[in-house]
Amino acid sequence: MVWLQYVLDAIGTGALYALMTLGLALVFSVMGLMNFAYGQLIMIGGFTMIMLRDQPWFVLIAGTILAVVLVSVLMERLAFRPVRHASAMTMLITSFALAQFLQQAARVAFGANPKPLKQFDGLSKQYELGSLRISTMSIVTLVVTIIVLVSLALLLRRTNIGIQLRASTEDVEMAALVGIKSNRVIAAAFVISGTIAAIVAMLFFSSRTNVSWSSGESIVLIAFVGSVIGGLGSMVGAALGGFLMGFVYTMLNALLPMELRVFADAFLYLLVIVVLLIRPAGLVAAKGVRV
Amino acid sequence: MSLLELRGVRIAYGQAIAVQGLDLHLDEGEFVSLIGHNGVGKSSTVKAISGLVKPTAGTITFDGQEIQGHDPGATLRLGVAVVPEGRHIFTRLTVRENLTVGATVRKDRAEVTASYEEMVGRFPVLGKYSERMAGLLSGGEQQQLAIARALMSKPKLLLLDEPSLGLAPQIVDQVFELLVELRGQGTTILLVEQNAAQAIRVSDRYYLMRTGGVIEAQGQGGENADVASIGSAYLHMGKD
Repeated sequence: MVWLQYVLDAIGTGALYALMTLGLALVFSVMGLMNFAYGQLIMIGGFTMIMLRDQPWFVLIAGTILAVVLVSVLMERLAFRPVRHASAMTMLITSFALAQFLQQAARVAFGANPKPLKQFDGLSKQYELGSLRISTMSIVTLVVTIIVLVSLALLLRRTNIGIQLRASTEDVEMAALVGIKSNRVIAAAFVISGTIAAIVAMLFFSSRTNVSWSSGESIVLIAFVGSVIGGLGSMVGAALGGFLMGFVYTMLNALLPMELRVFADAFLYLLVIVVLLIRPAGLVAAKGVRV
Repeated sequence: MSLLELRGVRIAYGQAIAVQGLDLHLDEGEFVSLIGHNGVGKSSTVKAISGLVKPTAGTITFDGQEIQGHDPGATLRLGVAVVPEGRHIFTRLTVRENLTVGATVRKDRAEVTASYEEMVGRFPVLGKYSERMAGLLSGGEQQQLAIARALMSKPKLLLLDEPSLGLAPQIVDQVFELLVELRGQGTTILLVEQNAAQAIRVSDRYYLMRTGGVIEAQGQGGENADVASIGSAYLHMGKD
């Protein structure tokens, strides 16, 4: 049964990583931009939670989503739109510069030391199912992930903007020829990506004790690697890649001998290399994406 | 007044000149073919009319408005729909979604459903496979979808770039029959083709283009057109 407990824990982490990866992959799918400032959106979500910690829960949730979406939209409008037709390298460097700018701005605004987060006691409560234990936080993470994935699928399949987004991810030139407005579609992608980043921030930081100006760095790395092994340009691949990153990482931490657990990251990235050697285009390769 | 008129159009990619001083026109209701070998500048001409490429000189007038340099969406809103070379259907969208996307620029949203029904009536295979991913259709079915998608925008001018490319001869015949049918229903068509003989037979007029986008010859099309002499000029150009 101890195995089942590990699997249960790993599914919770995998679900959160799948969400992280989706937000990054969506923007890449639409405009070919790997937005390395995506981690800073999640960091901003964390600081917003601190600022709104004394507010009722629904104000905290709505305020965090609003703040992160606003920064995400501004990011697209002020930083990425001017370089949209530039080379992929220019866009990549822009995203690195933006990530650095947001990090340093947060450092100036909130200080160099980590800021303590409000602890939500209810979320750490454990439920027992026989010999299995599951926390409220894991249940919330799973439920929210499923709701976000289903909502995203419905949005992409049932709404005009969703269909236009999917068309644009496949063939941007043809999308223009049928009259799809790239500004509108890309802005929509940043709104969705920002909303996902805010939700990830709330789930991620609810189980952490503090947030700092550098909190986004490790998150964006996970999301980036998840989307690469899933298959750049594929939303299903992104969710799968992110999930596997979280799942495998948790299982490694549980199953590796104690003296090797410190190397869990190394084993994880070794597996990533093996996956990419076998499937260089990722697990779910998208059409027309150079790797 | 012509529906579409190109005057002295020059298209260049950096130092490479694809089209130099092109003049052509198309009247409302006409079916005109632009024929020529691969690489003479036909597709560049299509791209310039549709707004994908900005001409470096000259004017493109559509329905009384200069459109050179317009973006593709603005050109489509004026009534120029494109069926591009290679079809470029959205393979990961269903047939129904492809047709819906074709109506993006339309303001009469309530009428789009009626247009969809009209399209699946005209192209029964699209109705049969409406919920199937478009990438799973055969080449001929995909070509029908590409044409139907363009028609969903209710265009004044249908611009087709090499619709016969990569299709079996029998399917090519079907595509040309379809174009004749559309022309009979009043659609204005500019057909860009390498398949010169077949294109000339179904057209009212033709332009023969040679390297550099220069018009080598032009004349009347139709069943009685002297395809043999045009064919010999066409072959001669190929030896240049």
